[in-house]
Amino acid sequence: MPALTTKPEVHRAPASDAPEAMQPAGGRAGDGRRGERRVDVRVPERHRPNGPVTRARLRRTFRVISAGWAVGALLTILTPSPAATAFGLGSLLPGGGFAYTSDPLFAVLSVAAFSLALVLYWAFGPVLLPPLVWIGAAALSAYAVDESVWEGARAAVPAALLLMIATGFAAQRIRFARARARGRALDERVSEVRATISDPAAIPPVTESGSEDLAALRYALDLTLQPIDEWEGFSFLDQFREGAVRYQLNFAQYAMAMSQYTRTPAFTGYLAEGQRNAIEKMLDPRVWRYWRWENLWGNMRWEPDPCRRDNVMLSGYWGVMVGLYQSLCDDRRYEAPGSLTFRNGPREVYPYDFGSLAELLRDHLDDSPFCMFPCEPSWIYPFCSSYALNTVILHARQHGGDASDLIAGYRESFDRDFMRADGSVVAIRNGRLGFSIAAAPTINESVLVPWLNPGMPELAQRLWWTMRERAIDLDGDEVLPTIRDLDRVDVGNYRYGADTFARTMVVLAAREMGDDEAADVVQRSLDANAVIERRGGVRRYAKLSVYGNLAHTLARFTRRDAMRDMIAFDRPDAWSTGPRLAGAPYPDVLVAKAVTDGRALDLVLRPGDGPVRASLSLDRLVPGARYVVEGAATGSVVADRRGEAVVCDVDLGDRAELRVRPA
Amino acid sequence: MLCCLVLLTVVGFVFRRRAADEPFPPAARWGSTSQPRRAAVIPQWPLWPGFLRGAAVGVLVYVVVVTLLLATGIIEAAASSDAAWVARDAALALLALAGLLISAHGDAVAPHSVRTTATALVGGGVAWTVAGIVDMHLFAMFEFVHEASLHDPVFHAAGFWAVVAGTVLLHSAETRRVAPRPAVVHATSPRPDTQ
Repeated sequence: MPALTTKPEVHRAPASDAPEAMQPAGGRAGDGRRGERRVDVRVPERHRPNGPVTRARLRRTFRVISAGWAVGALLTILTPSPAATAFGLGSLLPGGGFAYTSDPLFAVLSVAAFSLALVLYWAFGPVLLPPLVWIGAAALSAYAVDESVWEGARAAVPAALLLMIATGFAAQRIRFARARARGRALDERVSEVRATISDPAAIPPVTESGSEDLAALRYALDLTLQPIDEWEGFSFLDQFREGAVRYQLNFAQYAMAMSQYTRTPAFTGYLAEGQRNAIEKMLDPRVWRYWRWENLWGNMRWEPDPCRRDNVMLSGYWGVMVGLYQSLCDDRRYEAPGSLTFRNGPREVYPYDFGSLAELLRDHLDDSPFCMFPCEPSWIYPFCSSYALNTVILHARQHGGDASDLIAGYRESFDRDFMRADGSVVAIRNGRLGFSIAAAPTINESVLVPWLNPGMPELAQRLWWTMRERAIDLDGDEVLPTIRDLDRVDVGNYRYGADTFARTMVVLAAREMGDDEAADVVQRSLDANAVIERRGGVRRYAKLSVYGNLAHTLARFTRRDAMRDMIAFDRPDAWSTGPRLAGAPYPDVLVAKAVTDGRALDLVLRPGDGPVRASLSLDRLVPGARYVVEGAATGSVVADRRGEAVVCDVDLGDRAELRVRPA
Repeated sequence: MLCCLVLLTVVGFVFRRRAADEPFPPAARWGSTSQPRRAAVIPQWPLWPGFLRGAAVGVLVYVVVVTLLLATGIIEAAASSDAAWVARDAALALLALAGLLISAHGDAVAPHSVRTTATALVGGGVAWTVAGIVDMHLFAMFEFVHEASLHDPVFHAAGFWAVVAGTVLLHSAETRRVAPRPAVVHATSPRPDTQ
């Protein structure tokens, strides 16, 4: 195993991890990719269960709780009052006071209430709730004390506390030792893997969408081409957790952006408008107003601005949307100051633009000792912070900036404080208190892979191959034999039972890693258990959440390193300057492929609602130049002074190819 | 992990407004000269006003029932101090009043429906159960005369069954209220076969 040292410079991202500007040119890979190089996907060996920042947080937490225990112990030992004794014992352990007052029912209820408070703290961030419940239960037991006390509680409660502490420490050591053993065994297996990373081909591959691809894309288009203030088909559950509508908007845009990158880079039209609508729907107060409450009860601050502090679960994801749109559509409208303004009535106005948002995210990442910052107050999810990092990468790439310092910081923090000894990932850590909690492992690690790939491809490879070894059995009856209970939750609608969401995320990760064998097998297992619904040329999986369906659409359009290429590397010049299809009626004309070589435009079109004669708008032509149109009744067009033209009378009965080239 | 599963179940239940899948989005049009179709909006009345109102009524009913049980001798007061009873009655009355006042802000325009009845039942059941446990087991205000009888469990279970009944009603109401609409698609240019 490569040793994981604590010296900070050792875990700086190697040159091969840095995005475009620092990439060395190299030999050519088989699929046109350049500079292919092998990476070591073995798990870094750990000598301690937790990283340095986590340890410091845990020590601080333990000191504070110990102070409370000391007060409780002193009250129990030194004061003769039964009420004070009940309060003291209640301060040692939730329910301890009721044990003293001989109320076992309330002792159990206190433990249950405290557990529930902890869970609510995780879910919604109210930081004072757990201590209030704990102290409140102790105070109630003091109030309820009467002559029927159990004196044995004076010894039993401290003994139970000491036993719990000792058990906790012992369990941690045992888990760590087992994880190290699993990590070593895993290393044996993954050392044979020939994992490679490479840079994109000079002209990234553009393939044609099939009818099923287009039907899936139409789900995202129909959702987002509604007027900005209409939301039919979106799922409105709560706005705090994963069922929030913001994630549906995020993944609708990501799916459309990915389809544009891998299938139709020379098409804007309704595909661009759908992406803009998704970005601007995020400004609706119903989407972001939840934050004021989370900030109030989690950070004790009244600051409704959803980006100013924490809340990377909105700002980071949103930043990626804006950065992708700008990069793919060559549209800089969101660079204008105030172009992305949150408004909630005339007095609540929070102006942003892509630059200020990226700068803010950079500051948040930079200011955190974890190089990650929270979603809900206190709670850090590495994959959510990866969106903030990708926003910074997207902005830096488009403005000649440099994100390598943040990439290095994130990578260092990830390896030290968010990796376990067996190579699995700590999905959720409390940034204030230091402890971590369980999460859906397959979903968590699958989600991380594509979003780490742009800035840290070596890390993404390591995560994928170690996860593949642990969790995927391509030859078995069950392709995901170790899938856990938490992975059976569709986080987009909180339904428990099916693991379609988890499988969707595994497909996405496998496609991004170029592991099409695994992607195909998992996709088949998904199709075997899920039902496809169709209506009016649109397809989706029944029972799968809107979020899950959109994530699956993203996976459908993803190919090897597509996310990495799209985020970390510039598009070819030809794509940024050549002619493009700027308008086609929807759903009459579905664009299966649109690509330019800088001079000509090649299109593959399909009718979306039966045979149709349609007009197409082109832009970025050479002003005044004549173009031959092959495949349409209109034989040629002349570009106007703005370089635009309309191709009339394009008959679509079925699949049709169209080529527009200079005369 | 168990806690997380429990929470997800609770969150899923509490926040799920639609038991069925979301309807397909309306078929979008782009590049058309016609006006965008207005989407049908399914009213989303909040659940909490009905819950609070039910809780307030539940507290009041609870007070009345306890008074009746005291009067009929089925229960007897265990708290010796009249001040304790006055404080307890005042606290319950204040809670009920607060619930009614707050809920009045929430659904001034919400129509009466099965949903409001269902959420009121849940609220009332929760209030009954909590008030009963706190009254009897925390503050020991009263006790049943015949301790071995079924009075005690029946008394507490009344609230539980109200919650169950409300939950079932709410679930059936939510299942019924979502119905996808057919899409309307306008062609943006004449079709060859219609010319």
